[in-house]
Amino acid sequence: MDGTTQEQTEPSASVTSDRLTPKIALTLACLVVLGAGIAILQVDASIKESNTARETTRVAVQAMRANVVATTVAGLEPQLEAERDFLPFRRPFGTGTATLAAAAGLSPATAVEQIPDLGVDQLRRRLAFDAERLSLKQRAMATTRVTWNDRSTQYTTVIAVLAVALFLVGFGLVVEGSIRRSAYALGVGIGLFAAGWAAWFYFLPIPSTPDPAIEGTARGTVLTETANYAAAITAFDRALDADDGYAPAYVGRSRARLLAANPDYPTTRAVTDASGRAVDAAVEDSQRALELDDRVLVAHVLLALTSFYAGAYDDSVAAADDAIELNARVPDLWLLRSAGQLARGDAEDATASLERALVLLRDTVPSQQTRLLASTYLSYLAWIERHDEAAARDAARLRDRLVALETRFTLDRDALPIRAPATGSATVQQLRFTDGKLELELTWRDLPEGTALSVLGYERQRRDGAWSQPAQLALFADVSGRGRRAISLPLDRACAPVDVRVDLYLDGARVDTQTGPGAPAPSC
Amino acid sequence: MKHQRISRRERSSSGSLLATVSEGEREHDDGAWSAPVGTRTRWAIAFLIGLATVTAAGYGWRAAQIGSTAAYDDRQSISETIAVEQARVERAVALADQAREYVRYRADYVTAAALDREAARLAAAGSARAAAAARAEARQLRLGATRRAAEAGVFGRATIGSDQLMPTETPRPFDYRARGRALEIEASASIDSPANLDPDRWAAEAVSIRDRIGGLARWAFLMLVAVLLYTVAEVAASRRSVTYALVGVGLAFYTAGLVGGLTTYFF
Repeated sequence: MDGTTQEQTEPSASVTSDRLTPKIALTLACLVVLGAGIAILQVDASIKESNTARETTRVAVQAMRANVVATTVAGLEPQLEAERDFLPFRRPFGTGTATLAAAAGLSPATAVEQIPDLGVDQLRRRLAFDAERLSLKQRAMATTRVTWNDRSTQYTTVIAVLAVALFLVGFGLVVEGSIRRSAYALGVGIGLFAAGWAAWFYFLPIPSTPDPAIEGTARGTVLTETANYAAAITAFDRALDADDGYAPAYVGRSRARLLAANPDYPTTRAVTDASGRAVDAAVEDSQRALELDDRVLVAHVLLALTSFYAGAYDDSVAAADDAIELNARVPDLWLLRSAGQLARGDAEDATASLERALVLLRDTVPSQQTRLLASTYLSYLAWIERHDEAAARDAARLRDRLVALETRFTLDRDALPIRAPATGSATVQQLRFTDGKLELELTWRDLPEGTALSVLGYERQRRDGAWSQPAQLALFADVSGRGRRAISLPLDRACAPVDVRVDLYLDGARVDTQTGPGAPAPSC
Repeated sequence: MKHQRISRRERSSSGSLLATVSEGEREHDDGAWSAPVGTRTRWAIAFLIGLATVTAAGYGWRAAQIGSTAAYDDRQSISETIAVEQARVERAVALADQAREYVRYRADYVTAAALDREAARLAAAGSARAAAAARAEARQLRLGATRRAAEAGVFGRATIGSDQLMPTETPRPFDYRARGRALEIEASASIDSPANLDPDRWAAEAVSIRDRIGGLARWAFLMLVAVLLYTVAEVAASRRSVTYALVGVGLAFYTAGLVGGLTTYFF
C-alpha cells in the first residue's frame, strides 16, 4: 500500500512542479525585460546627467570670466573718473602757474568735457548683467545636474532590487516543495514593487529654470545695484511670471522692495519705512524664498533686518541665528544678532556677539568695508536708543565702546586711555545741512601731543525718527595743540536729513555732541 | 507513444535544423497545429534566445565603447572653453589698461592745449621767448603722451608710426568696441595663438554620441522583447501554432532591432 501511495503522490507533485516551471520561466523573462526597460531609463538619466555636468562646468567657467571682466571694468570706472577729477590740478611744467586750473581756467566741471566718456558705465552694466545671468544659470544647471544624478542612482537601486526578485524567482526553478512557491511568490512581489517604484521615480519632476526667469532676475539684480528699484521690481515680477518657484527672484524682489522703501539705506543705513506695505511685501518674498530653499542666506538676513526694525527682536535674533548657521564667518550677521539681543534686554549676549564679530575682523586693516560695518552697528544702536528706553543706556555704552575701538583700529594705536585729556578741548560749531552739503567747523586747542580725535556724524530724515550713522561721516585723526578745520561735504541723498548731529571724542571719550538743522521739512 | 517515437527520431537525426522541423511537421500531419513542437524546434528557439541576447550584449559593448569617446569630448569641450574664456579675460584686462592709458593721453593733450593758450597769452603780452618755450613744451607733451599711449598699445603698434614722428594737434579717438575686436583678431592671427578652438563642436559631438548610446539601448531593448517572446514560445511548446506565432513575432522584433541598430547607431 505504501509503495502504491508513494507512486501516486510523486507524479502528482511532479505535475504541480511542471505547471509552475513555465510560469517561472515566463516571469524570469518578464523581469529581464522590465530590468532592461529600467536600464534604458537609467541610461537616459545618466546621459542627461553627463551632458548637464559638462554644460554646468562650461557655464561656471564663463561665469568666472564674466565676473572677472565685470570687476575689471567696474574698477576702471573710478580710475577714469579720478583722472578726470585730477585734471584741473595738473601742473604744466615751466609756465610758472600753479595748476592747470589756474593756467587755463579748467574747472572740475569743464574737465569732464575735456576727457570723453568712453561708455564704461554702460559697458559695466552690461557686463554685470552677463556675470549675474551666467552665475544664476550655472546654479540652476547644477541643481538640474544633481537631480539627474539622483535619478540615475535611483534607477540603479531599482535594478538592484529587481536582481533580488530575479534571484528569488530563479531559485524557484531549482528547489522543490513549499519553499518553491514561497520563493516564487516573494520574487514576483518584489518585482512588482520594483516596477511600481521605477514608475514613481519616472514621474518625479526634474527641476529646470527657464531662461526668462534667469534673465529677469539678473536684470533685476543689476538694476537694484544701480538704485533703479522700481524697474528692478518689474524685472523680478517678469522672472516670477516665467517661473513662480524661482527662489533667487523672490530674494531679489524682497531686497529691491526694501530698498525702494528705504532708498538711502545702502549709503546711510537710514530706515525711513520700517513697517509699511512695501516692507510687508518684502518680508513675504523672503519667506517664500525660504520655503523654496532654506539655504538662501540673504533671505534670512533680510528677515532678521526687517524684524529688528519692526521691533520683533526675538524673530530677528532667530533669523540671524539661522543665517549664522549657514555661514558663521560674516561679521554683519553677528552685529545684527548683537543688536537684536541688546534690544530684547540681553546685554551680555549682545556683547558676546559683538566680540565674535570683532574676532572675525581681527586680522583686517581699516577699509571702507570695516567703516561700513561700524556705521551699520552704530545705526542699529541709535535705533535702539530711540525706540527702546530700557536698552538705551546699554546701547549708548556699546556705541562709545565701538567708537573707541574703531579709533584705536583706524589710528593704529595699541591702546587708548578712554578719558579726555587733562588739558585742552575740542568743539564743533556751525553744524548744518544746507544746499546738499554738510557743513561744520571743527576747532581744538591746547591738546597734548598725539591726542586721538574722532568725529562721528549722524543724520535723521524725520524729527521723531532715529539717527543713522552714514559710513562717510567719520573722521579719525591724531591732533595736538591748536587747530581748526572747516568741513563741507556734499551728501547725495534721496531723503534729505532734517537734522544732523556730530559726536566728538578725544582719546576715545565722548566730549561733545552737537546737533544742527537740516532740510526744513521731511522729503520721505 | 507517438511523442516518444518522435523524440527518438529527432534525437537520432543528424540533418539540418530546418529539415528537423520539417520532419516534425510531417510527423504531425494529422494533429497539425495543435500538437507540441519537437525537441529540435525547442533547441532552435533556445539558439534564437542566445543569439538575441548576444546581439543585445554586442550593442551594450558598442555603447560602452563610444561612451568613453563622449567622456573625452566632454573634457575637450571644457578644456577649450577654459582656453577661450581665458583669452577673453586677457583681452578685457588689456582693453582696460588701454582705456586707462587713453585717458592719461587725453589729459596730457588737455594740458598741452592749456600750454598753447598760455603761449598765446604770453605772445600777446609781448613775451615771445616765453611763448615759444610754452609751445615747445606743448609739442613735447603731445609727443610724450603719444609715445606712451603707443607703448601701452592703445592704438595698436602698427598704426601709430606716423603719429610717433609727428603727433597730431587733436587727440586720436578711442573706441573700446573696435579695439576689442582688433585685439581678438590679433590674438587669433598671431603665430602662437591656439588652434581654432570650438568648444561647442566638442560638446555637440558628445551629445551626438550619447544620443547613439540611448538609441542602441532602445534597439537592444527590442531584442530583449524578442527574448521574452522566444521564452514564451519555449514554454508554450505544447501548442505548435502558438509557438510558431511567438517565434515569428520574436524574429520580427529581433530583425527590427538588428537592422535598426546596425543602420542607425552602431557604426
